[in-house]
Amino acid sequence: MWNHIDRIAKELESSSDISQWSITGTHNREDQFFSTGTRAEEFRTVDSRIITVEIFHINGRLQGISSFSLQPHQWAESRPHIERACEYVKKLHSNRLYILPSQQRYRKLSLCSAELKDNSRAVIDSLWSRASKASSKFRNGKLSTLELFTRYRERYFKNSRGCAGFYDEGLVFMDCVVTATSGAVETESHGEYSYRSPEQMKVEAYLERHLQQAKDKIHAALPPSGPCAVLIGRESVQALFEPFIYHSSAKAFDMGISVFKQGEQVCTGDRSGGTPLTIVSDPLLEKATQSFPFDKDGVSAKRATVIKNGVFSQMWATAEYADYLKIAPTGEFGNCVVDCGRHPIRNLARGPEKVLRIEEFSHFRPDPASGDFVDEIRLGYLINRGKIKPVKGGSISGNVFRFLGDARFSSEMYSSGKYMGPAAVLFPQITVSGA
Amino acid sequence: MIRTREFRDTLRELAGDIAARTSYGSALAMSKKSLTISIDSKNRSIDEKTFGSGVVFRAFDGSLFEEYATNDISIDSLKESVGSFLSTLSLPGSAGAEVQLGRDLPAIGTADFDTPVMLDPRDIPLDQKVETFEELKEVLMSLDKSVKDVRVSYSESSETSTFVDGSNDLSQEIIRTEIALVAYANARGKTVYDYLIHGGTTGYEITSFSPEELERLKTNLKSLLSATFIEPGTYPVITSPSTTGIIAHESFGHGVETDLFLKRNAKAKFYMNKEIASPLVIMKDDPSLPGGYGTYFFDDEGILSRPTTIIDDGILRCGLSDLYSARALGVPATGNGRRESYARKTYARMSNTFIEPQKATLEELMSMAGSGIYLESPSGGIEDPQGWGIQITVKLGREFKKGKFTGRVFSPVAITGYVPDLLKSISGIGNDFSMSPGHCGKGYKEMIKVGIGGPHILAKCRLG
Repeated sequence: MWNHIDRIAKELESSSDISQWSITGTHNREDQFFSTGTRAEEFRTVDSRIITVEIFHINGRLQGISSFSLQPHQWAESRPHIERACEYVKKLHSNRLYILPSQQRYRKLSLCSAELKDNSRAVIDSLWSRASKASSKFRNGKLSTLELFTRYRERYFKNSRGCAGFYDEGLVFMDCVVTATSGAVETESHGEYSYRSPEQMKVEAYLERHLQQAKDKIHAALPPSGPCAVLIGRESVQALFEPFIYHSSAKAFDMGISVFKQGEQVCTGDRSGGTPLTIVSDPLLEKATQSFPFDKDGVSAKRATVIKNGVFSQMWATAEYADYLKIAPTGEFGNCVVDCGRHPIRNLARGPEKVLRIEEFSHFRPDPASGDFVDEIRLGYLINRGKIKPVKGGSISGNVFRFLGDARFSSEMYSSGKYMGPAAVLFPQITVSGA
Repeated sequence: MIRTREFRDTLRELAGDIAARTSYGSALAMSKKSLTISIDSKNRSIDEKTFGSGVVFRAFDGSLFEEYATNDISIDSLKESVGSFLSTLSLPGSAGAEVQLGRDLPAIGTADFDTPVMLDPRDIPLDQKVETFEELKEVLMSLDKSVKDVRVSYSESSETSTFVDGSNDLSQEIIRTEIALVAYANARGKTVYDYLIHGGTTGYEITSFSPEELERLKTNLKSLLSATFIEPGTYPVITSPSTTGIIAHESFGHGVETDLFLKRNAKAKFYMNKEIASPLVIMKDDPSLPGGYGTYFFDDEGILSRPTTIIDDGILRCGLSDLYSARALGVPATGNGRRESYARKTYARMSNTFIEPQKATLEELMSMAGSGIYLESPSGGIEDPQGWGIQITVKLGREFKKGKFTGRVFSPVAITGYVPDLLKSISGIGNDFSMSPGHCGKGYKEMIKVGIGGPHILAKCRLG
């Protein structure tokens, strides 16, 4: 691909209408497998390559920006696309000027296992075999569907200011639905998992967990309405921090919509007993899925502590917004790393009185701008004086900025995909809408 | 622009090579060219994209599918790819086939389809578009002093696809135009946003917004800044047409995708021809709906589009099928086999899903309810086809009493509950009707374009 990128770069250099440019090349190879129960349904192989070009036309203190993408059969004939993009940028020369990153050194990261690169089909066969074996032992339940994807991706980057870089990365993904049966009642539990390498995929443990959750749903009832201590765990915890990441971005400051101020607390409510919040953007973790040696603009990856002990510390900034605000770019937000607390989960689950421990939401996603959330409970457990009752249905509502300051983080860590942080977070009081 | 029609001879030849080795072979070429214009308070950009263009070759032996997909679509590369695909194919052939995929399908032969549009967006000069959107940006910025930033996002796309198998050689071009106005407001330490969106298989004519729509956006932003959480409980509700559309989509849209019937992940399989909604409810999915955002002429498996009545007078009548699940279940293929792109698998998916309008005016619905909550600006929904749990989230709930809005607003508001309870609680259906553009995932992925809509409806829901 470098040959094509270099040739397109030469064409861009020869155009007097183009002041700066960047080229990104991507080659994706995916194997995909689908089963219905333990019957293989489909194998797919996907091969795609694309080159994306962004061009800039500077006119004094302003500039125009346009981009286009090229598929392999278009690589040899990029000239008409460049000419059309030049027409576009001349119409849009009133954008604020920002200068692309200059040449920099990129760290070497190991983001792909050899087996994903060289024999991804064997990875799928192995994961499928493990899933079949594990599900064959299920009692009163079964594997309903399984999807396994492996991806090997090469990324190429070059810009007009001397940046040039390459890296490859791997990904393995599993989507599973497990059902449990009791008489005429059938319930299901669904999960999705993404990792860098196959050995991180704990197939047997995930399937077992979803079988148990499906079984618990059979007897689950609506939770009672009213205020309650709520313990949120695992996959849903990460979503709690998304509004904090959104408001920490240089883009939010540039738009004038961030509610954070340098050196001030980010949580607005009671902070008397909560674990101080520390969030780090870390794109350098080799086993995590949001790692990269350089970002889409060619900025070398670096760690950035955006919130430290509950106080807004620094913005994370892409090259564009860093230039507007005259700050150093951190690059795109990497993996979300959050400091754990000092409370073992078993203590949090004991709570002051009854605790609603929520294992699965329909789709837990606080609004990034307002921080408000209202989400349906797919499965939870009402824990009251040592007695545990499964619950489902109803919803919880609140606001992460107002409530997180008083929340207790678990001492146990959970690591999945692009998140590394507390495995559970306890809110002393949240409104539950139920029976 | 890649004209998929230009290499249909090659596709026919290669699909034939695959069919010679297995019980069924097909080829689908998908090409998408889009022009997007994005204007915010400080920047503007114009981008031309061809993402999602490629070819997928499919082989089937009666039980197992194998597919090879690529975006390297020169004729030489395609021939080489299929040669390599055939050499690694592990399908045993048609012996002992469980399902005959191509049998008994209506043979359409060769047919080409094109989207009729009033104003072809490609005929509008770029300068005119930019000028129009700049004006819209200025209007948005001046809506209110709390507005800190805005975005005008316009997209026009031309999607062509050519499908070839042993019986059919079909080609379609779908023109889709879409514009979204987003405004961000910040006051008293709170940031909110709301949007207006127009979109469909229509032309440039959809880019204009009425003063009433812009006024509604302004009112909504102010309401969002002052809104509180609702007291959890069960309320009479009136849903806006787009909220009605999400209820339809999430309840017995996803709930009747027949690939889930095969996997026993959908309870609806056991409720066919049974009452699952109020007798007032007629719910349809229609990929042939003129102008719908999810409209197409044939699906990604070469089945011609046509309307499907899912619920008729409250009775569950028909599911939405892809070809394989239709064949395996012995039900009609409804033309709902869709892919996110050439790079993804076909599933049974929705197109334009809606509840049919009836006779009541909005005023009559409010009068019937007496008091309750008017739900609008839907922000998402999800359903559990196995457990029939449903969650619909809206940005705004407005309290009304004695047929008048009280000024109290709640945000966000979630409808949760059991799907048949919700649909059986419908006691009034409005005489209005509108469709909105939407994006739909299967689980949390496989995003496709769909239309959602209907009239105002009066129901009783648990809100939180």
